[in-house]
Amino acid sequence: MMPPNLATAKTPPLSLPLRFFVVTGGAIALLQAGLLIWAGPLAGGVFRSGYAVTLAHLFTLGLGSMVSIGALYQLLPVILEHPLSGVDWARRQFGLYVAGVVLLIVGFVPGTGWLPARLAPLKSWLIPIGGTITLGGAWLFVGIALATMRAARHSGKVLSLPAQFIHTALLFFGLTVTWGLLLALNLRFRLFPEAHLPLLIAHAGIGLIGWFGLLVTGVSYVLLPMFYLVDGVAETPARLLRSLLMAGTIALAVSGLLALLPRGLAGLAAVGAGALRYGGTILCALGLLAFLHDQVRIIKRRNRKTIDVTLRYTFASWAALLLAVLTNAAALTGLWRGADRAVLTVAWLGLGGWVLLMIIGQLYKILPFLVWFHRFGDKVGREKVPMLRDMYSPRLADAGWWLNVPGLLLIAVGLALGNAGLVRAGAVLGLAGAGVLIANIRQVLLAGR
Amino acid sequence: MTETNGTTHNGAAANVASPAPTEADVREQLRRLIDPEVGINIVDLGLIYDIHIEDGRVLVVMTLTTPACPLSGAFDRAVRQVLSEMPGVTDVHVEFVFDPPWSPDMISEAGRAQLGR
Repeated sequence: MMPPNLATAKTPPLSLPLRFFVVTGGAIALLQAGLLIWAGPLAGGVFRSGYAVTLAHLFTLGLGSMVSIGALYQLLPVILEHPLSGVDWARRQFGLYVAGVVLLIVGFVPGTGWLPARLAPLKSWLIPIGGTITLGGAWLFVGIALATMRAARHSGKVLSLPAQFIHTALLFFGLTVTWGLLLALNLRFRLFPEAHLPLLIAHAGIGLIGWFGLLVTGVSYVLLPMFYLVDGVAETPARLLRSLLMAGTIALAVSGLLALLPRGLAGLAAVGAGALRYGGTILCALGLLAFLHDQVRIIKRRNRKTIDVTLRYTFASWAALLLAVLTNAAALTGLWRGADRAVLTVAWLGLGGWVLLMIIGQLYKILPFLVWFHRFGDKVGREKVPMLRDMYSPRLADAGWWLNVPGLLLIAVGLALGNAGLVRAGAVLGLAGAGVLIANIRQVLLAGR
Repeated sequence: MTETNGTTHNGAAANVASPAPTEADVREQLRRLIDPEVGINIVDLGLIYDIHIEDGRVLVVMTLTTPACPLSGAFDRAVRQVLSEMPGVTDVHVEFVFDPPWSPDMISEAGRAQLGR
């Protein structure tokens, strides 16, 4: 009798998450190249400029969400102890999502001079069309993930706390993308021009905290104890910070919606929106600080004492998050009078710092494991198989850290001071760091070939 | 509640004439299997809960660091493979249990030494 293979029964084929990870590697390089080329306008500090909006969407949709979707296709069956629902739909989702994101980002790139003359008049349609296709791809992913959770519950499984984080994050992801399409349509058809800015700020808040914030915090509660062998992790702090982040995100969302109230209520709406925006931001900041405190406490109790490249990236990502929260507090309290530059700096520290460094660090765990599992899993016991850390160059990984982390800091300082030279220098380091990461990804993919 | 996934291997007919191995022999053989992420063999990692040997038939009761660990299939095959190579082993049965759940407390002193200070 052939033994049942629980692994293939629960995990999707290697090619499914891998395609998302490969696109992510390219998106990291594109992001750094964009920072290098557009350092001047970015250092100018206008967060609503086409350059900032293009790079923000390249990061959020083409990089952060791309890698998150791929990772969740792999991670959900592990967390839920249930196979992924609709693997064929997930493959289609990739194509739909990538097509939508590419069109949307191309639509955001300022100007039309770089386009063939025939296509230039069509460019203004790329944002609503790309946005609509992205929306379809994003909701299809959310649907697949929620269907998997529903099936797990029907089979008697209880959603663990990290799964609850992910569930909420998925809903905020769907909301963020829907909200974004509304903004895209508003740009094209001017449906409610006066409400655009408050809605844009709320859109950014829901995406940054509701989607990435809840996802990264929730997944951290799975990955850190698992990789660094920590047991007995108390759930109370995590439940508390989840509530804070959820409440903060909802407050930010409502603050944006108040801008849609009729003119007669404009005064009331402005007061309410301001209070909700401040209150929501404070709740989110408290949630993120609670997360940092709890994660430091957890990692101090780890049984695996070695500080590997993933842990070094994790520490750097926490430092970036702390800097983002402090910078935001300085801007909100008036200690730092440079609202636009503060928005760009906080966004960079939050996304390019916390989220990106966490992603790169975890890629060094997840990607080798995926490839090892599918390529060497059935050879264990029969022949010598590599350890995960043998599948990439540790020296390159270390070099990447020393390029990416100082690069991140230089860009942050450059954005804060309005210094294009520092942004450019940071982007050069970041681009080199992206090259190192891609070289290591390639080495992992070729292991055993 | 205990979840189990039992599988057997019966490809060791050539070993029938040899004396059956002891539990210590089986544990030593299982030390060949190393967790690819942690870098510790599955015995010192504390994944082996129990070993029963009777007339050359070996039952290994083991766990995983998490019930949905994707390595279950790989370890299942590998345990049967390495034990079926032992003289005196005629049949190998692997049973996965998750009660009690694995915890880092189950790592042996030798395993802890490999984890660093």
